[in-house]
Amino acid sequence: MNFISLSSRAEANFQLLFTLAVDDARETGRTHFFYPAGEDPTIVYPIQRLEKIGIRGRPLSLNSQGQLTRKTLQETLSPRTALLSLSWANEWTGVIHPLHDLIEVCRENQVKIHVDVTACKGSLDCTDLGVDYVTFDGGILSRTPLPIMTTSSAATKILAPEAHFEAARLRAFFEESIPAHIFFREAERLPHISAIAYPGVHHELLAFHLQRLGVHASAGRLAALLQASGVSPELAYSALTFDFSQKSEEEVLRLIDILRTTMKKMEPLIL
Amino acid sequence: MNRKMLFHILEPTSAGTLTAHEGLRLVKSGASVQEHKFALYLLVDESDGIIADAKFQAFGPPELIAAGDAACLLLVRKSYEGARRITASLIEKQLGAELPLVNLVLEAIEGAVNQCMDIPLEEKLVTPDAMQEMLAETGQYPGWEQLQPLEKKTVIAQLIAQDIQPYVALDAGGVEVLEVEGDEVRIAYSGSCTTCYSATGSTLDAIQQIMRAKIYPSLTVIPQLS
Repeated sequence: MNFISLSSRAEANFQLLFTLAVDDARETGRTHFFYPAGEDPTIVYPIQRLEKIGIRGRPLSLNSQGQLTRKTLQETLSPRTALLSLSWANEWTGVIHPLHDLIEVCRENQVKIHVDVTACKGSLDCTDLGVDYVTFDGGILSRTPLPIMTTSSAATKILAPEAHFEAARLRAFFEESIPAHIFFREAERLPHISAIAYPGVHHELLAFHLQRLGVHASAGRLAALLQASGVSPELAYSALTFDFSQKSEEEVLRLIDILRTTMKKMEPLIL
Repeated sequence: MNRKMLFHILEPTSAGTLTAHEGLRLVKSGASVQEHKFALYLLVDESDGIIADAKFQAFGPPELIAAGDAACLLLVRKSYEGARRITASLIEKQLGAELPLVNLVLEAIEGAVNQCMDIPLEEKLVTPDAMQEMLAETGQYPGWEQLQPLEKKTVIAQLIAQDIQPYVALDAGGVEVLEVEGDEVRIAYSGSCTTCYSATGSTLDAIQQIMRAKIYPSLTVIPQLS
């Protein structure tokens, strides 16, 4: 297993993908690079650029819980597939892909697998991850670890020390307290990420109001990701991501109150 | 983001829907592009075609909310024919910003106007009231007294193009500067202004107020009526 950590994940992913394209794929004739739909641009953009030198990139569809499944991968692989490249957990939805299943399929088909673990931001125990390449943003090494992630030979697990239990508790409290649509509740998720939507209120408008009140929520690529999982465009464009790492209960209570007040204000605008 | 935009986004006074009243026709119209949607509701007086009230709902970014709110304020008390003359640049001017989704609002206005064509029109002027908005921003033109007549004429022409013509155009009229002599500005009307009583009354007052507020306080505007 090879670790690649540079100052940015974009640099690490580009280095890896470029090297695989030039050194392996073109010589073996296995030129197909797969990635989950809505994958991070640091993986998608390099692959798209590599199409100029004969690499064929292909996004794989996600299930209704935002995950790339064993079945989808099995059905899509071909003898020309060289690589599956993915982020282990998605930083916008919090969804964790079933890595053990994907590794098994890749091994059975002699397909290499690359995992970016930046979104898992923390002290990483990847010694027995079982993939060919691991990349991450070097900056996360200096940040407060959250959450700790590791793998066993049987399954991917999240180790949750106290801080992570607290983030998970606050997220659960938040999600139970607001009358919003919660995405991917049934899927295995990072404990500190919550993707929600107030149907009928555009995410940019809600984020604008929240920012004025000191709450920073992200829309980013969430809409594209959600649509890749079959969510309707209107619901997808209402979605925002909240991060509960290093938050206190008081802050979460304030957030709930701000959301309630802001949504009351938004009501007349809803079609 | 400027204060006007912020006001319309944070406190949109025209957000919501309307219900029909006796003698007032409820008109609903909508437009959409990509994920963005805009719905317009008008109450139009069936006796004279004047828009009694305007509300909107929208699914879109803050700029769309501002555009919808500003457009509704412009629509109220206009005839539906006047509503048709509202342009993207006029709404953008009201807000002092470029608005990427303003065409969505204009499409909804056009759809609403098309539903009113059978209502008889009793044209009432909106120009003087609408132009009062321009007095919110004042500032004298530096060195006005030292300018040559031709330079003064250019300055006045720019002011008319930016701050007066868009409003006069709502009543299908036009204004141009003929000459500037000292503090006297001679203007000529065109279009519907040439036959309008307001051209020598409230519209003329409004034009003079804007010129005094934005260029020089002693200016006098004299219309050529021949």
